[in-house]
Amino acid sequence: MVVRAARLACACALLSCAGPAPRAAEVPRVPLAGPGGQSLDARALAAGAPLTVLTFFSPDCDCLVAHEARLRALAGEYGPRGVRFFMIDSEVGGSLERDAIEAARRGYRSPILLDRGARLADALGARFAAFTVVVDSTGRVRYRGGIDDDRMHLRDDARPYLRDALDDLLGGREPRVAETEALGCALQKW
Amino acid sequence: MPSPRSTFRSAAALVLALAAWGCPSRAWAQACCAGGSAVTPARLEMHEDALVGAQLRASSALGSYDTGGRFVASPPGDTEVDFEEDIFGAMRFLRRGQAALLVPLVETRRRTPQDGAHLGGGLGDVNLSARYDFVAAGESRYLPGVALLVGATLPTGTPADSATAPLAVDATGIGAWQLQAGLALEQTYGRWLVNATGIVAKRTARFGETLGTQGTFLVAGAYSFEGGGALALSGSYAFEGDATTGSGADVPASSKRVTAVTVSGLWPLADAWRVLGALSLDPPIDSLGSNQPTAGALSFTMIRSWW
Repeated sequence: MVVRAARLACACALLSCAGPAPRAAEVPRVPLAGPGGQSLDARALAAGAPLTVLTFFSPDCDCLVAHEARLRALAGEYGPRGVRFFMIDSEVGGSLERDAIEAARRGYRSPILLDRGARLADALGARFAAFTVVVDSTGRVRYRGGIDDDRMHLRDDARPYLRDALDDLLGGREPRVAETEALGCALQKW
Repeated sequence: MPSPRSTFRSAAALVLALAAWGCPSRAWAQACCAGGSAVTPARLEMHEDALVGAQLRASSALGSYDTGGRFVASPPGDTEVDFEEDIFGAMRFLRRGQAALLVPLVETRRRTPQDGAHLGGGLGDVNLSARYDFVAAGESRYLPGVALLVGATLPTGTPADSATAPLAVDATGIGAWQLQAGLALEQTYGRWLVNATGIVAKRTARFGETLGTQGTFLVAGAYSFEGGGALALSGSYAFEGDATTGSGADVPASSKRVTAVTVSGLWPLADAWRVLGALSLDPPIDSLGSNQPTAGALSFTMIRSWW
């Protein structure tokens, strides 16, 4: 009991002192689980399209809920141009069942992919729901951060970070802003 | 005889402030957004780096607990209404820490059949506090948020012993430095948030005696709604031992305790603006307090934040 408490205290202290999470420049080769338990490799997922948008998911996050309509609009607009959109569930409470229910309830066009052990989230430095990365077909991360600069109350004049990044990348340019703040809820990863 | 100003008043304010400040951080934050804010008026939410706010509070005395813990209603014709306007601000330091300042203005109106009505007030006891979150609520499914709290309340108000106005209506503080330390545990369960906080306060000597060590416990539950609103119910229990004289002898029958229940709600006007309202009551029930005045209070708070 004492040893367990000491370990927990050490873990807390280490966590408290830890610096910013590591952020891979490329999507790692980690497994993701899709509907029906289908296993997908994250890198291979990115290879299937010129650009892939990965948005981290949490079911109770109002910040993400607020942005769902904007994400759907982006998917509708950029999907025909070859951009694919996926939600990633990296939370410790995530399951295929939960993700299937949530995807259906929210009307997502793409499945929520399960990131067991939060390996993808940890590699990409994802700590908040609504954190989004744009990956090119080689697996290189081209944009990471928020969907826009709104948190929960959407404004018409919000800065559309993700849209701008997609426009730039599809136009053959580097994103005008390659990294922003994601204003979402904490992902419960452990 | 008017009731003396509660020595728990500043402690209660401190508990509310310290218990609340701390969850948000760019790096670490609670799973959902507004529950903690509803528990207290002055809470940095997720991603916020700073905030300023103002709280208006009005309370009406209901009576008092005697030293045996029996509730005694205010005598007919005796009334007391207290007002408080707090200006506060909070800023983040380091990754997991934050510091806050609270400046209260206090007014009291007392009326007795013998002395008539009198109104007075002024600057209350200013509070500085800091919080460091080792683990934030919702960050782990298995481990609650754990935060260390420290604070200091400065004797910037006028203590009752120095009050000059009739019925001591110009008393606005306790006249001693207070140093506080505490521990807060907090966890989220979906849209629910549960908070338990304990704080111990030591006070310096004033007017030849030292107030007893004070302990305060706060337990709260909050529910966050889609859209960012939240409702919270909290209960606090504060107690302090006998005061001691300069020679170290106990001052008989000077220990005190009080219980309070608060219902509060939060409504975000925009991402950067939110309003809060709270209704609190020291239940006028025997044995829930001793040697303390009791009151019912209403407060309204507006906050502007930055991230």
